[in-house]
Amino acid sequence: MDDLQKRRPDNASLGLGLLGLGLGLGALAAPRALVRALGVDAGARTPWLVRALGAREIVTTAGLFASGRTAPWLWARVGGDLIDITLVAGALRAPSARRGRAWGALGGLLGVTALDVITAVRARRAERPAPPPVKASVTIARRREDVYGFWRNPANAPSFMADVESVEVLDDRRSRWTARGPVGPVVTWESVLEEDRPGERLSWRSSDGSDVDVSGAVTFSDAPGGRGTEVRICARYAPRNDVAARAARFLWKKAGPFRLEADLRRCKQILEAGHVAHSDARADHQPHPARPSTTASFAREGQA
Amino acid sequence: MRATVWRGKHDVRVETVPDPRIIDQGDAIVRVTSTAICGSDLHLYNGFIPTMEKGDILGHEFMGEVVEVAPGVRRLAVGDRVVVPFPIACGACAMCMAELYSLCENSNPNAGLAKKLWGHSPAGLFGYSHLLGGYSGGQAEYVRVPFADVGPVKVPEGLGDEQVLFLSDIFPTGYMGAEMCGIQPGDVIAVWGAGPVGQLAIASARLLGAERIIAIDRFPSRLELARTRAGATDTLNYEETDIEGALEELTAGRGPDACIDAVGSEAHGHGAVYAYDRAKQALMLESDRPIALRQAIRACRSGGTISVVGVYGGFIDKFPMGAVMNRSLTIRSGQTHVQRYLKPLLEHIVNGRIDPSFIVTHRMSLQEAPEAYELFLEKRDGCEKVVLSP
Repeated sequence: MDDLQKRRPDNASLGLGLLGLGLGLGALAAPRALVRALGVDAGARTPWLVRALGAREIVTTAGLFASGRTAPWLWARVGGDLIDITLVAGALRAPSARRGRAWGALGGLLGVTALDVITAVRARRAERPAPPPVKASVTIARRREDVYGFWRNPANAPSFMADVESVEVLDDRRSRWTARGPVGPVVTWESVLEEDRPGERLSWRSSDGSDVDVSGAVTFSDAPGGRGTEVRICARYAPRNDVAARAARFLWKKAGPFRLEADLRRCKQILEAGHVAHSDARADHQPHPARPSTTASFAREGQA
Repeated sequence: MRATVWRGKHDVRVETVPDPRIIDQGDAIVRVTSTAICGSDLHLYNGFIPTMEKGDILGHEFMGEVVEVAPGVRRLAVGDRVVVPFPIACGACAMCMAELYSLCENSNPNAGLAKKLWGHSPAGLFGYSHLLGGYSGGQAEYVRVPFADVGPVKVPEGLGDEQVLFLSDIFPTGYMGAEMCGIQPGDVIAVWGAGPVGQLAIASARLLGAERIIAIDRFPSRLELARTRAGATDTLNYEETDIEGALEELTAGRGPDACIDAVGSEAHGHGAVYAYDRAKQALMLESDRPIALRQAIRACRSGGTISVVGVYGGFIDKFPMGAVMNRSLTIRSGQTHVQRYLKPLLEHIVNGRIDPSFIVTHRMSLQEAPEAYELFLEKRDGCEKVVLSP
């Protein structure tokens, strides 16, 4: 799984790119004709300026098609549009300008700029960096089928996942999850089981209408020498909102491994010892000598 | 209920706190009839163990009567008289099945924190910091005992509290210290520290057939006890004698076959090295001062064993690894796997082969815990072991 999801340009970017390519090639090949068509006067240096602008168009188009990320190149196009608008608007004031055509050209430029902005914003949303996957593993002294069976039922999750408050099983593959996000507010998502290889692997992904993007996979394998089952989990978590996503990405990177590992440890406690182990400091939510109100963060690691 | 709580360095108080209650399905509540202060409690008292919080209930050596059990408990019933091991063990993980109970993989809810400090987490312990679980201790009127089917041992009728109380920690600890020496006929065992654990390590070495047992301490009363009651054949006072020279003399140059460190992280000594360690520890440049351990390593015969049952918390300095490597020394250590030793050691007590109560010098009420800690720390009045009654 790559940190950045590579993406083909969508239709809008494609169209804008082709338009840019056409204009760029036109500007390189016949700068004077282009300038006349725009209704502005061509000075002595104008053809070279227009050629430079054309080259710029070709560069941004190439970036758009080849780099795998469209958003930065679309924003570059917006920058180019602003330069063009400034130049055409400046040329409008020249006495020799043919106003009708020039106004038309300016209108067209503004339209393309608007299209560029809309497409860039959309592309950025689609291409925001995915949160890094977080991994954790544990060995559980139980048979592989038992451990798989426990994980196959999402209703078991709140018993060992500290952040998950409830899970409602919708059908054999879908379930509705409610959790306290790492940044505070309660989030819900619908999880869809993607892969189910009994006794070996489970993977899941949140459906499109969810507050957050959650995905993950857990694999089960025999530990050597009858030591039980090796459980390895890899998970991603990100809100859809841009700002929250950035905060979540940071927190997930910092605290994710620690929290995921604590979840696995509680899963082990349930499967081996029958229940999560609570100390007095963990269990008492009212003020208690072993859990005073000043309780430091480590005591909060795993209130299950 | 009344309980002994930690309020900070050298500040222990007896306060009224909420009664413990059943939390998990394997819990029992025990009404404490006797509890003791351990030498390792002094590490907490002196502020050397991190992650203590003001208000934590102390105590990991205790026994009493079961007054409540959770529905999941099968082996114990209300009214049973039990001794409770200080490590909390689930009985079901790989470590418990290998009888390495103090390494239980499931009993420390703060395992992530312990993992950061030590690489992996050991078991949770009663009353011994949040790093080791944040479990309330037993120097109190009542205590909650998790995984009650795994740890506590029922006491046969006819035995007094003091005869069996030390099964909770120091008797198995001393025994494991001697057992780790792998004692063979003719072996000479040197024991650093003639505190309660040292005394019971000496007594255990005798049970396991050691030829000669040498006790090392600085308090004449402790050395006397080691000779007259525990079974030491020789005693050395490190304030009067050069220990390495004396051990060489006693063993005709071989060195003791095995050395037991029953001292731990707050060793005393003298001279420049002791001053160096005190200074580094005070400046927090090392967390433990390994004076006894260094000496034990140097003194031990080539190919011999160093058995460490004294408690260390973090990092030591100037560790003579060259001696360990070049002379093929074996270092064995661990918090005691108490559950493993309960049955055989209880049998030794029932059969009269040993009575660990010989170490008790002071009997006080729970209410007097603050004075008891001070007395034990300063070894006043020949204090060897304090037993508190709630």
